[in-house]
Amino acid sequence: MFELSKKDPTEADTAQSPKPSRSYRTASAAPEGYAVIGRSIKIVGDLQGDEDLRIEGDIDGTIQLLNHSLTIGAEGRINADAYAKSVIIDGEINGDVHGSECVTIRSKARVVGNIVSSRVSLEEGAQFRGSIDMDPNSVKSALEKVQIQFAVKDGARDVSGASPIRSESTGRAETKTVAEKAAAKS
Amino acid sequence: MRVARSGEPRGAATARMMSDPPSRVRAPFFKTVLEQIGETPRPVILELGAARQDLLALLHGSGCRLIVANLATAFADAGQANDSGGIAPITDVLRELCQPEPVDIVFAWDFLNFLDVQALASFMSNLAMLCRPRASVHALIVYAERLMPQRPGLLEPADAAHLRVHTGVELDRIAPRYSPDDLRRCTPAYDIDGVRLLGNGMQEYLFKLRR
Repeated sequence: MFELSKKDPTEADTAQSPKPSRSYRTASAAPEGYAVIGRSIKIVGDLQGDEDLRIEGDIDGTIQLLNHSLTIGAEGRINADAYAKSVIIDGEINGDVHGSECVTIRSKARVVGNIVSSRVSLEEGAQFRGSIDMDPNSVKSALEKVQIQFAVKDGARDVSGASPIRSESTGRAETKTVAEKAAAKS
Repeated sequence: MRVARSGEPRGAATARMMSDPPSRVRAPFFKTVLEQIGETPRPVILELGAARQDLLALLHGSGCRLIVANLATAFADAGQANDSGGIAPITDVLRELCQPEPVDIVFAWDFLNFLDVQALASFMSNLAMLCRPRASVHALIVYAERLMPQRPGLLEPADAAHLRVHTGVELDRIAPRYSPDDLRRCTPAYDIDGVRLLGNGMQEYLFKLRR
């Protein structure tokens, strides 16, 4: 599902370990240290992770990367609410964006929705319609709310007996789709 | 802005461009509004134009909610409609965007020039319903010029006390050149808190919602 371009200290161990059953490609063009969802990928469902992520594909669901950065690349098309530490938008998003640290809207971006972040920067030429909430209390409460929502969802999944899906490359990322959840439950 | 000569045929005027480098004009009511934002806890601000980094930078630290309506095209079209029904799509968009909190400050820039009298009255009346009592509306009205650009967006903030006026813009649309009396008649829900003639020949208005 993801093109992982990580080069971290665990890489050597990963290279010697058996090949993962799911195939991950290394994106040579991608900078080091984050996962990439390629332009041919479409995900319908919630996405949760513990590493930086760049999206060039289509996402229809909620994205939660509370302690990491999210980049919506020029080819990225998001129909979702996104929660991250920092968000850079180069592509299109139709949904609310929450950045606990900052949100950057680049010149080619098209955004329809509400942005909640105490630091927002906007390049000339960017298309934006919606609201920008710069109240630190709004940022805090929005992030607390989504953490609770995801905790409830995680709780429901744990009760159902399904184990979280993790990225085989690092064992850290937990990023899954509704389809994967359904498959896991069955 | 260059002032059109009296009696000049419209065809000749359309060929004229604003070719001087972007000029800055002092805008005292813009400064007043920014000060008001600084004094209001969590102000809700409605920007009728596009989102601009300059405005975001001025609002940084205010803890505000800035609603960006980006209505340039809609306004340009609405002014050409002959009845107030032309304004309906605009007010629908605003109603949706401004939920759930009432608006404290409106940055109308040069948008009101693009509405005829009926549309202007309808727009301001609908806007009043989205605002908090004593909300402020900051607007700029073409006054010295007979012509204006085809679309709104002639001005943007330069700093806390000045506006930047775009040049290189073709002036090919007749400006309504509303007087304070015209505007008073169109905006019965508001007091005109102040009017000033700016250095570029536009008039700067500060409206205050009455209720």
